[in-house]
Order: sequence, then structure tokens, then C-alpha cells
Amino acid sequence: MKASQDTAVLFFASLREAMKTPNLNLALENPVQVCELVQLIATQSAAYAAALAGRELLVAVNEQLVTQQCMVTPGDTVALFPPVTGG
Amino acid sequence: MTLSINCRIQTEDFSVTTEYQALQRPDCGSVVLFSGLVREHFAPIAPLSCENTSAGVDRLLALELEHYPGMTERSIIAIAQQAAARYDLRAVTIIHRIGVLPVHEQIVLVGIASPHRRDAFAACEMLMDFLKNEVPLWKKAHFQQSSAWVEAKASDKTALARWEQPPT
Repeated sequence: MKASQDTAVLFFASLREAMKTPNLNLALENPVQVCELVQLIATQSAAYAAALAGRELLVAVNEQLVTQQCMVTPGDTVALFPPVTGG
Repeated sequence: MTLSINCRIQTEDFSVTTEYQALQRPDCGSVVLFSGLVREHFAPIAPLSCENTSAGVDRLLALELEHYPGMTERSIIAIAQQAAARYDLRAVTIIHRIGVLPVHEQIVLVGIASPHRRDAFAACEMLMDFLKNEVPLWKKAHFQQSSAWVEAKASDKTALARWEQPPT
């Protein structure tokens, strides 16, 4: 049996407020796609599902912007956030 | 050619004069500086019914800037390097403030030193376009009677397309 490894998921801005937490730790055993990881979080609670539903999300894995199809390896740091508005 | 990149994320204000002087190089005939400020007029996302505001627009008090520490600096350095691959640049300064910034405060500074003005102007615009699309920073608008996260503009996204073409 593979040991699971903690994968940090960070939330920013309006998503952080909607999730009511700046981060979660998920115990992943195998690589998953970003979109599967988002589904996994949504299944944890109705509040998370509501916070994530119908929202345009950008994703960074280990501080690099990636697509929802990108693979997340156990131990990675994933960040989910709304489209950026700096400048 | 060596490129000097000065990237800072900070709560405190910055001096345009100090940054201008720091950008000057003996081999650079031009320095272009852009500064972004918190403007007074900023429409809230939800229309307000209150009667004590002019034309139903709530008055903006401040913008609050949130960022992703680490990734913000990393992505700013990456876009500066992208701009330097396209234009002849010798020094780039990007300062972005975070925290609560009242109306009229400075938010951002992009400064470019180049031997020639065309490269400096173009790189400054390119960096602002990338800053508005790829750097993890978010604005929350605090009005007198409400607060709302600023929505990303489609026009900022389409502005990126011109940098996919080779330089003219």
C-alpha cells in the first residue's frame, strides 16, 4: 500500500472568503488532475461545494499557472484563485 | 547584455524620483516610468439603493490588495525576463503595493531603462498587460457602505494577444 502524502491547497481573495479558510491539506496517494482535486474538495462538504460551484478559477501548482488538466503529484502545493486584478 | 531586475512587493509607499534615479544607466538613453494610482471613481458591482450618494454610486474609500507571497515575486521576474527577451532592456523595476490603499495612493510602479525609447515604451506596456493577467494579486474595493472584490476585465485579457505577435 502506498503511503499518502499531504498536498496543500491554498485559496485566495474571493475564493478564500467563500471557502472560509485560507488552506486545506489533502491526503493524496496518487497523482490526480487539478479538476479532480477540485471535485475532491467539493465532496468534503456542502459549503465547499457551494463555494467552488460556477466560479472561474485559475490554478497554480508549485507557484506556476497551469490548466485544470494539469496533474497534481502528492506533496505539491496547489493554489486556487479567481482571475487576478492587480496592476 | 545584463539585465537588472528590481521587484518589490511592499505595504509602504515608493518614491518615483528615487526609482527613476536608480534606473539610470550610462548606456541607456531612455527611462520610461508608469505609476498606477487609486482613482476616486470606481463603480461598485452591486447597484446601490441608498439616496445619499450621487447617481447611486457609492464613494470609494480604498482598495485592498491581496497577493500570493512567493508566486507574486516569481511571476513578476518571469514577465520581466519575457519582456527583456523581446526588447532591448537594461533595467526593470516593478514595485507593487499590498494592503489597504486609500484613494489617491500609488499602487504600482513599472520602470524601464533601455538604450532606446521605443523598446522602453513597449516593454512598459507589455509588463502592465502581463501584470494585470498573470500575477497573483487581487483588489477588493471598500466603499462607504459596502465592499466588493474587483472583477477581472475582459479587455485586460484581450490586451495580451498583441504580445503573441512578433515585435514590429
